[in-house]
Amino acid sequence: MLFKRRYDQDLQLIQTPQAWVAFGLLAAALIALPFLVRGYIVYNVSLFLIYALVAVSLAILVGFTGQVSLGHAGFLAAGAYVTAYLSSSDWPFLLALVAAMIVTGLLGLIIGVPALRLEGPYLAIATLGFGLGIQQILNNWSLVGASTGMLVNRPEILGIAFFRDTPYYYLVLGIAGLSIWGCFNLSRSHIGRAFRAVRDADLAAQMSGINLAYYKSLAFVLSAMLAGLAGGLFGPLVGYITPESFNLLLSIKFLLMTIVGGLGFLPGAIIGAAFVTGIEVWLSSFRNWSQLVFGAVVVALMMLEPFGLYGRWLKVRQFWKTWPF
Amino acid sequence: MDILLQVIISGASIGSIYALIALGIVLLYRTTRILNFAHGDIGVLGTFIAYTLITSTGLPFRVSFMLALLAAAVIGGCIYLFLVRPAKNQSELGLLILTLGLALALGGLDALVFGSGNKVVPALVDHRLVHVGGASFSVVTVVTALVGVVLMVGLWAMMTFTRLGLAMRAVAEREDVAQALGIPVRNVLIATWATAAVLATAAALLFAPTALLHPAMMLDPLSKGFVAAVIGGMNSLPGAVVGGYVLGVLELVVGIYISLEFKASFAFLAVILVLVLRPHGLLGKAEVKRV
Repeated sequence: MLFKRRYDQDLQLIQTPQAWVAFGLLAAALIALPFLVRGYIVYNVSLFLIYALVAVSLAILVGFTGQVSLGHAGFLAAGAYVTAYLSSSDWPFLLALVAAMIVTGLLGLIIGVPALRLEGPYLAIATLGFGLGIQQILNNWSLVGASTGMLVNRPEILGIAFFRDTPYYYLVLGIAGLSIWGCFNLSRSHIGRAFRAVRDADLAAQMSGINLAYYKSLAFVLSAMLAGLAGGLFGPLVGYITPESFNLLLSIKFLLMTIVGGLGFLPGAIIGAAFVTGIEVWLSSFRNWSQLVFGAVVVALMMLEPFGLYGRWLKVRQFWKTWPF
Repeated sequence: MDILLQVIISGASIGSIYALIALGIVLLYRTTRILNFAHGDIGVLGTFIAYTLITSTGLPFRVSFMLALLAAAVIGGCIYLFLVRPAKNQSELGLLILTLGLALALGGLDALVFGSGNKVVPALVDHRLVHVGGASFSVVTVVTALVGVVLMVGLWAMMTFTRLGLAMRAVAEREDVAQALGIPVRNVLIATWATAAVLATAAALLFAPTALLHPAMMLDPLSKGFVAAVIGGMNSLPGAVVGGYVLGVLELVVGIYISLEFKASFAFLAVILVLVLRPHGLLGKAEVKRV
């Protein structure tokens, strides 16, 4: 059992020696990964890191603020296209990433403000419409290649080339890791608490002096910016983007990650991303069965475990912590 | 003027398909709070059953149509009884994800059992052109619109005049009170799921002749059905019908008079516009929450 005696103990993100060991092992494993496994696994782990960033951004929106989004592939697409277009017109990659975040943040604001009045299925369908709308616009916009899409080159930053899978993996690890770390901090700040207050009881939150409109749209903007950042990393990883790569199924997968992992927990979103990416890689070997098995696993998880994979882990941990009582 | 007449009749035809889909979605949403994303795939499964009956047993189309609707009712009831009801995650989002998973699984099942190639489904009547004034249109279009209207009137009659319809409305209003008054809520919900599945299959069977039958056939009509349901208001059955027809006609008007590329994304722009002006749809009522 952990007893906190000082306030700054409560502020720590990692609180116990065991957690430090686990974190250290995870970090070491991620850094050592390219030396241990084959290339295509490194590629897929990079993809997982990008998806984890989107899942975390969606967890902030859906899990913390309680606003559902079925259009996050749209933000990912916007980020990817802005980065790809600016890189192709010789902007430095990092600057293009920042621009992508600004553009997607503005898009998030455009969706977030009308979303203030919507809830439940109305918001779900409006965001679904946004995702499909972005796809349609890109499909007809000849500046970004319309339906044929765009080639995206791996970037070169300050003379360091990130062309091959392994260096690019480290770049993704660095940027995604820092952003996810930022999200963990955000969830424990006054902003994160305000988000959760809005989710649990919006009227009570308003009575306590939380500006509902501000925090609801802030959640949308932050979530969109992170998804845009992930999109900027996604383009160069896959090398070729078309509007079809950002279809409804991808938005659905992001929502699946957030909820299968455990809604409202950031580690849950990451576990969910790992689960979905992992099961896809695993299932791609037997083509015809993959969709059926994937769907069946999701149904089974929803039927058996209401708090997702992370909830199951918390229960197991609680059991052993209090064992044999 | 002739073009306008043609647009209205073709729009009514596709609009009645949208309206049937929206009716199924709204029927389930207002009783169970489930946004059913498996709706389209249930319809596709029913259509595959009808197609198999026609091609392998040689039953006439009308008989297969009826048998497929019956099969869909059983499938819908079973989905509620064996998947939705025992699910431990009964939150709105959890059930939404459950139906998303179900949609993926059903799509995969279709591809596995029936193959993912395109198949041609015959229409209820022969394809023949009819001329009214200067406008010409296919009999199939008119029959589609008519069958849609018949099904909608049938649903309205069931909801208004039968004991089952009364029980469905009671459960939609307050599930716990209905239970306390002795209404067998479980059976009523099974019937609701079965009705929704029948509506889905009817819509898919009417849509199939104008498209080609394959596992992802209903993806586009389903998203339009969602839009129609939201435009009309998620808790209003008349709203779903209005939303379906308005969307069907307006979409064609946009396609003809403005631009064909814009036609596909028009629905989603329309839904955002409608929701900005009326957050609960055209005919929907705002839910009053107890604090």
